[in-house]
Amino acid sequence: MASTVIISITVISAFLLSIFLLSLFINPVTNPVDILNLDREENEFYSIFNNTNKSIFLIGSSQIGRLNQTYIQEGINTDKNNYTVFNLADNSDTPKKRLNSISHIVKIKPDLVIYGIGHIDFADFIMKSDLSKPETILPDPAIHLHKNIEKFEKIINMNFERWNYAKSLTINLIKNTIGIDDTKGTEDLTRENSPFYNLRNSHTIVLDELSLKRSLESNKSQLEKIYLEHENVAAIKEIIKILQTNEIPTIIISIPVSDVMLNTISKVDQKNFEDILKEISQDTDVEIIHLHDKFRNMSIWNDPTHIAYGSKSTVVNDRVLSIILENLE
Amino acid sequence: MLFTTIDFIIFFIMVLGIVFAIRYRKFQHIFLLIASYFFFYYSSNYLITLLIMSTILDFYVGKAIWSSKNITKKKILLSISLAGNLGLLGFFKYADFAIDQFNILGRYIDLSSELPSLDLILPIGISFYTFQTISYTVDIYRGKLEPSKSLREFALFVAFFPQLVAGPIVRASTFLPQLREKISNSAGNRLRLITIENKNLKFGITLMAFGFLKKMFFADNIAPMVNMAFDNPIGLESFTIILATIGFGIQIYGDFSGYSDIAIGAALILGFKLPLNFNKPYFAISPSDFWKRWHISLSSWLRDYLYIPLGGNRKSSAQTYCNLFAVMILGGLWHGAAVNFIIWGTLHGLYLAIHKMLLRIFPKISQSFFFKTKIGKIFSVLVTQYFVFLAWIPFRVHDIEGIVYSMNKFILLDFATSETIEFMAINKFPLLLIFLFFVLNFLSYRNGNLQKKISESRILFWFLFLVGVFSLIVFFYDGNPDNFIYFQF
Repeated sequence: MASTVIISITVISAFLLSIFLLSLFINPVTNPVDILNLDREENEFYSIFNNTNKSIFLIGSSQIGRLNQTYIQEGINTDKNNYTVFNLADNSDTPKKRLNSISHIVKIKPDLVIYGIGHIDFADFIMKSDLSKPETILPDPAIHLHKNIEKFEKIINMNFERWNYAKSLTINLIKNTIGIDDTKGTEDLTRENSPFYNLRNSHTIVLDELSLKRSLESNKSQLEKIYLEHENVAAIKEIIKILQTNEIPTIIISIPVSDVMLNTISKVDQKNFEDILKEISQDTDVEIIHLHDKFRNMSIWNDPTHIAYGSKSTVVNDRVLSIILENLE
Repeated sequence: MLFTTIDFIIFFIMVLGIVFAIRYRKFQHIFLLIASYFFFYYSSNYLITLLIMSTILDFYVGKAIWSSKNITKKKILLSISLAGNLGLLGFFKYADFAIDQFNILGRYIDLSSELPSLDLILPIGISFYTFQTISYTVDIYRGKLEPSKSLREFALFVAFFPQLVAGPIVRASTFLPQLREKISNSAGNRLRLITIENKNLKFGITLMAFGFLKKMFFADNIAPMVNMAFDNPIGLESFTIILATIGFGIQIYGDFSGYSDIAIGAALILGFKLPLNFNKPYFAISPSDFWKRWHISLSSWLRDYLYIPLGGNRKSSAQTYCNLFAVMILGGLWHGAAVNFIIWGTLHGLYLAIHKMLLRIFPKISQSFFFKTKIGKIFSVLVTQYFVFLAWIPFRVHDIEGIVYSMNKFILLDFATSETIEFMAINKFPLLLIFLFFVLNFLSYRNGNLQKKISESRILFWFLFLVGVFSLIVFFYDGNPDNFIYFQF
């Protein structure tokens, strides 16, 4: 039987070897977002962008992704108008993230930008599993440990955050090696001029109230608080200013959400959200069109925060269309 | 503190280092107790007071039961212990559920007002440590166990960190003799109480590696497929429901038996042998065989402290069936205060009762030639597992409508495939893991104690095994692991 020292050395060596293999794989100088082809996809689209018509860009997160740009485009285009509407929404987009790619949009200089912002852009979230923990009335050693781990990361100048991508990177590598391309799943709907957001068949389903509540309950995280100092407030102001400086007309809309979702947001947070919209509007001199509570009770919801794609939510597309038309006039 | 976090790794290495360094056995003993309390405090903050209260109550009640000669007094003391432990468990785990049920009833009979929910936080591990302390006082009452002589010793039994928050449920009769044996084996006060033996260290690490693999590689990577189906199962096709059910069966097994492996391995490194909690349950050939293989420490606890006191199978057939139902329903409720767990428990009660009934009506059936052949055994396994997996549906799906729909689709196949093909296309990796799990499980079943064999292998092979396991874990780490399912019970 091997001695304690040999056993310990074996375990440590095995662990270090596997970490070494992983760190070779996750190149510390490469941004994992690049490896996952997220930025590359965006760069490719903007670099080959070629539209002879006038352009209208819809930007925001997946909630904007559910708008039907083809329907809106058909509504705009008459004998006088000839616009192409692009839905450039992206999953989990936030103003902070969008700020990194706004230069692409500025270069193209569209004739109008509609930017959708919502409660979740200015909120912190909490994992529901954390809610089962008791409130800390005594010192919490976990907080201290993690602060020290962060300090350690700074000292050795490593960001372990990228290691959270290990699974995605490994699966991507396997797929690339054996030649599977499933960037478009069999369940995806195809549509033109929406390069970043994959629309699925399931996104067309309208849920009843009970199913919406169930869907909300099954979320792993929940909105904790909305606050004025959120980093995305500054980011959205910055985006608007960049667009204004480059003389790109911009309209901000607050994204519609369902009654089920709005009921979970406290009055304080609702007020904070309204205050944020007011502040953005005042500081940038841009009108913000409030849509967040205008469709709350309608039967158009695919989940608590997303409208169903397609004819069932025409009412929302009509409203966006009318906003655009008012602006084009 | 989750076993799969860096927090636990740091904690465990520090504990091992200090245990290794301390040469005074009294300090080792106290240190392990402090470490166990710290482990609990780390996750539960002030709720550690409940653990300490439960410890103090049962220590003194246990002593009083042992020293009392009066049977009535013994009964009263036992009742105090049971009321204390079950009261604690009942209040924190079931009070809000009871209020909800009361309010539902109130709506039926038009009561004008509703009772407000208490919104209680469920203290981590309460279901496990209260069962441990109950078994302690009951065993003393039955004269099967001598009470612990020191509070420190008893406190370590209740709070021993590897099994504190999610089992296995350890009996005092298993743990305390090990502790005492270490003391009696020590020649003097200056000798170590706990020595880290090489054999235990290697086997313990192997068990822990298997545990991490089951939880972090299998369970965590199958979970997204299961969630995709069961977060909202209405409208899904039969084959999708079946795939998700198989996935959940493996997820919960990987999750819970993985936790048990880590707990048993960590305890073994410290020199304590905890009871086996899982023994290849998906190879069970009957419902009663399943319960001898699944969560063994709970099922044997329910048998010894509930089923047998109720009369077990010593009374009439009808009484036996009622006992089985009662025990399994309570076993279901132990998992959580919700209707779905009651349904799960009831189903298993039904399986056990029907199996017992069949054996009574056809006593020679299990001895028949067919069931002794390979095909007969495979048939028994498949039939048993069909019902076991069917019962996982109410365990995972929490609303009645979803449970009824999913079970209906599981039993009455619709033979539709278009959405299932899409579902499979999205979930290629979890499906591959399911296949891999069955292959490995079968190899393990064929080869006996695989962990033991690996731990006894040559150091180079063992090193390669560890590199393989660690690499699978780190390469498939998704940065946001799910909690252990059994933490919530």
